[in-house]
Amino acid sequence: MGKHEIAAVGDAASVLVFRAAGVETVFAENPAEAERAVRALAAEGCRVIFVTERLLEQLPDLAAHYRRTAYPAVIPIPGRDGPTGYGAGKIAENMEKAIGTSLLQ
Amino acid sequence: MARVNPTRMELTRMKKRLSTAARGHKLLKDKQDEMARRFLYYIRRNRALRQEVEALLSGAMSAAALAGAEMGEDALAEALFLPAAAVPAQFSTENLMNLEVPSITLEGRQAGAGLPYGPAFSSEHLDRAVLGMETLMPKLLELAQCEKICDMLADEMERTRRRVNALEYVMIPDLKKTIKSITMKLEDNERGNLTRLMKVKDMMVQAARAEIGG
Repeated sequence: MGKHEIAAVGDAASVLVFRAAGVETVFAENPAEAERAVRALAAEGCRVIFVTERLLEQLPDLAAHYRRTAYPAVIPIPGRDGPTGYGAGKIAENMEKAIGTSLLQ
Repeated sequence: MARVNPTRMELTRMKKRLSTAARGHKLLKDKQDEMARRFLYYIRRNRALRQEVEALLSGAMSAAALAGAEMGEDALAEALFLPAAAVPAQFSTENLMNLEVPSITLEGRQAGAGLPYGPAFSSEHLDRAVLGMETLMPKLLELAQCEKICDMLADEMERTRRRVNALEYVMIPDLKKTIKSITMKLEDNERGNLTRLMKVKDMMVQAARAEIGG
């Protein structure tokens, strides 16, 4: 297991605060960089990887890839400019997948 | 419908398969109910946590942005250059409905872990951002755990639903149809046999009569 168990990936302005909380931060300005960073962190044994919504919503394959196993958990977080609705959309999506309709609206 | 030989052996085999399928269907249906119950609990939690985290995180991030504007980006990066003490979290897995789901626990509170930089050149906004993050961390980890459980449960529920439907609408009706057709065929054979026997008996009686009469 690597030394970092929690990481945050995103643009510098958004994830810099995570560093203050003792979280490994990797700066990524575009989806390709973010994907590389997430894969590298996962390979190192990182358990929880927070990725800014703006980047993660452009990487549906990446999100789907890490869905099946308990770890790593790739979790969308809002970026500096507030939530884009991707995280909330994901909840509704899960709901629909599980129950067949979205009950919580 | 599968083509099978209309024999008694085949009939018994089909009946056995039908009862297994019916039992499997019932079990899966129960599993589905229980998963739905737990899923609803986790998805509600997930939603509440996400709303909370989104609100708090935006606050921390905008405080950091203000700090950056006040101190200059370079000074901000410098202040946060040294990583703070790692979050003391334990990562393990637990079994939920036969799924390996993550279980994250925080060990002790890192109360007053303090700021990872000296206060001299840093802005008050930065202090606020950093302290905000510290209180936010447990919630972030809980969100991660909850959201992952929801992901995994949703996938598993979809799979279970497919299985239940396959059993309910394909396998069980198919087996019932096959059993029915075998039973009919066997009954038909039985009737054929019976009439043949009656006919033979008639013929024998007639032959015997003719012998006595003649």
